[in-house]
Amino acid sequence: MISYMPWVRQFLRDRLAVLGFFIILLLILVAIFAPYLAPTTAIYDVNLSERLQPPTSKHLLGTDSQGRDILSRMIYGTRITIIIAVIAIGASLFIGVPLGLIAGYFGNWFSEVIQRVSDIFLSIPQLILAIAIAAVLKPSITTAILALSITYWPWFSRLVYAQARSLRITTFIEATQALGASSPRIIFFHVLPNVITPIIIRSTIGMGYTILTAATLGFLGVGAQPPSPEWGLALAEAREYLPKAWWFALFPGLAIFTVVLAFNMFGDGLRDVIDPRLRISGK
Amino acid sequence: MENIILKTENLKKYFPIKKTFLKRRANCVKAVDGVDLELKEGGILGIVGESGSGKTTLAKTILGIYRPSEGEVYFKGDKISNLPPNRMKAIRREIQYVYQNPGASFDPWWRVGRSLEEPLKIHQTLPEQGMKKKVKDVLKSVGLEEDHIFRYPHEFSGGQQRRLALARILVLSPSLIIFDEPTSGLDVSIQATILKLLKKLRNDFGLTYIFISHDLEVVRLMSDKIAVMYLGTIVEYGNTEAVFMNPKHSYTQLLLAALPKIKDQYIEKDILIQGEVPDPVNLPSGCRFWPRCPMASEICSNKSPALETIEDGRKISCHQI
Amino acid sequence: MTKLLEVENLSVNFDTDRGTVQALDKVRLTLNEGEVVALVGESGSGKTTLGRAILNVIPSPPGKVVEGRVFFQDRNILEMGEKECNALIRGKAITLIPQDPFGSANPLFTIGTQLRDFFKTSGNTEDEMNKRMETLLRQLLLPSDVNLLRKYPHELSGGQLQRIMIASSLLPNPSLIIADEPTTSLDVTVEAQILRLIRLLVKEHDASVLYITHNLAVASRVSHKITVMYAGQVMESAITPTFFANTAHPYSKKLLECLPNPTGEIKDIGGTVPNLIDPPKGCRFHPRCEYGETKCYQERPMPIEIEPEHWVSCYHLN
Repeated sequence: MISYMPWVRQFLRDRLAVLGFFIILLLILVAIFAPYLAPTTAIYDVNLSERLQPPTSKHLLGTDSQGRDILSRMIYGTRITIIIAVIAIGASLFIGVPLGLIAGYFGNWFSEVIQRVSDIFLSIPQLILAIAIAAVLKPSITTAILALSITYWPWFSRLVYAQARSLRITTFIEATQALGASSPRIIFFHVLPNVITPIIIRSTIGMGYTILTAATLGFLGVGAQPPSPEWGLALAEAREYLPKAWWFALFPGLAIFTVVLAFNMFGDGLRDVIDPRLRISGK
Repeated sequence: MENIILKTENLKKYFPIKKTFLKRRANCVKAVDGVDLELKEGGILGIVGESGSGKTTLAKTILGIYRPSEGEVYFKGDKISNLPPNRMKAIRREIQYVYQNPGASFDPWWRVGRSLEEPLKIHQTLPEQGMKKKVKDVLKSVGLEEDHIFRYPHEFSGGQQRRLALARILVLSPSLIIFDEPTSGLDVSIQATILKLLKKLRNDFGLTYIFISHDLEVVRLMSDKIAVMYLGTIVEYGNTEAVFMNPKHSYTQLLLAALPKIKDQYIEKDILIQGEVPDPVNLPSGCRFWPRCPMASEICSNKSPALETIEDGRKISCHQI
Repeated sequence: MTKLLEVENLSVNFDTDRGTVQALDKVRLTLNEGEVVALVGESGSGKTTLGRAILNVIPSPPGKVVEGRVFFQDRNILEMGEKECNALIRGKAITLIPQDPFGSANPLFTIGTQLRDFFKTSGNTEDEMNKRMETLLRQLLLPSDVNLLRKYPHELSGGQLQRIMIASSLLPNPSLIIADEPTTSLDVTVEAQILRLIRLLVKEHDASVLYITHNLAVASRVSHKITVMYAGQVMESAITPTFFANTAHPYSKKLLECLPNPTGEIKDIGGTVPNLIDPPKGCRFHPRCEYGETKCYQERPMPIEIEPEHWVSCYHLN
């Protein structure tokens, strides 16, 4: 495609975005190399004699109510975080993008239906919807992922719909139709590439949001279940031991906060670089 | 033996205007309202008109981008109006359309080479190697370089974009090309270059052209027959030189008078140019031109005149002649 | 003839990613009171940049006035500060008729509101306002009834809106109007009407006009003097009848030849417009000129007055 260097340079000027990028990178690396980084792999072993120990050289972040090393649990927790975020966003994309494309490009009764349906989903506060779904099904990580996908897809379909719709009436799409191109061909080769950049931006920000919601679900007990090292769940478990065993709640909370913030900063940085360029170069 | 490559019969295209809330079909924009045309193979037909004349809609209806509200279009003897999409695809290879804004007809995110190959990929007429070679040949014939295929549309100047648009159409070896305002917005010198190129291509490849323009001078240079359109109908038709030397319809006379010409500096025109093209939704009754016509009489406001032959090859739509 | 505008040796550059665009190169232009001067040039000639320079609205990065002065009523506009320019020049003594009326009118306000806004800044009474507006609208052959003023820009046709733009350019009683290709986007019959109007109004309101266009035929219909530009340099300038009767510069001649003529032969100028980041040395037309020779690019020809008020920048004059 067009040379990316000026874009990269501009991105690098936004320090927060770069910070966000590195945090995300760190997150991914930690998740991949968890077994090598964690002090212990025995994160499920209950050791009541060591419970609620403050941070020491043996347990750098202390221990939780079951005597497990918090640092190790947090490190393994990154895996869960990433899995939930990636699968949930992935599923939302898988549902939302095709629906948005079809609805936007064809503009027929089907689009009306999709629009109304996504309006319905969007009108209910996401968290409540996610909780409701998660509560109806058996609480688990899978349930959480499902709930998140169902509530997030309308954001993608709406975004894609708007783009597809505005592209439909452009001259070059009409010209391609005049050349005899079929609709699937046009949608796949012309509309979709134009839509990818907003999708990428929305996905990054969506990841942050999804992680937060997943943690909330875990916190409320309708998502990850014990003994999973999921951060939200850890927060729930830590609640009753506040304020004495502050380390128990602090570190998971800090982790959630940092990761969500990182995704937001990164997404914002991306948007600042890509959006104005979209307007300038896409003449 | 000259074949008739294109024919339209009473072609009409109306656009309904939806009323808000109640969605009553209150009015239509009668963009094209009964057009009869005949075009011989190898000829160049110029269609002249101002905004609202319906010339672009006519082109798009002939092409099938719009479905006719009424009337038929015949290409090489076969009816092509209202064809199902799969059969229309074959026709799309033969009749091509060059947009007014040529740069806009290219996907801005695709490299130009890919856009040029696309028509071939859609119609699968050549093998892969053949496609690349065809693109190279076509680029050469429009005066561009081979390595232009690596660039993006916005990297080209207006004149070059026109050549690219031409190239993309020529890869399919069409028989008929419809040009929509091919020289508008171009500098005079580039305009001349493009027109020369178009004439050369017509001779080299045996093409037939329909030339749509509001620029009478350009149409005069290029076309052998001319059709003057006003608000959706043809008001005058004939051999180009004859029409220019001796315009019969008042509107044609008006257009010719309005042309800024260097020779008539400071000469005030006799024909006072009055009024503007009316709103296509509220058309005047009868002959559409009567409110601005110096020769109008009562019959003109009551009845719409038909396009009739008045002398050798010349057709007029007027009650007064 | 009193001199109203004098552009002296104006050179303007623009700094871009790809290099410095030398948009204007020692441009000279004179405009007297009551005159319509047509500034003719193709794309890249610098005519729009010159128009902007006169209003002192060249964005300061990336644009830069390298040298030269723009004298208007005995003051150098380029030396005036922003506040002064806004108070005295822009929209007051010098107004602009834009190329695209729809791009310049605010779509959110009615015509009437926008016209009245012009008056607010000129400090007139309500009565004066209405009277002047009515007169102007009538002169422009627009229905002066209330209805028109209540409409929004997009409800008008191109011709009508452009006439409103002309009206708005006349409201402040300017000394100079810069018309930037005002009829390019209009139909031929509408263009003819507007050209005629401009000629009449200029006489009535005693305004001078710098008419920017790429169309020599239009220039012939509306101007007293023609100045031809190419690639940022002024090539020729003459009183209009003289220009056509006695065209001197090779570029001007070629330009005339390119106009469609009834013999059917299409003539063009070989070559392409130069890249202004690295423009040809000397006379910038020399690469495409049939008379081009060494001294053309060694040193740029200075303008010579070959007959009264007919200036040409070329070494090859018969």
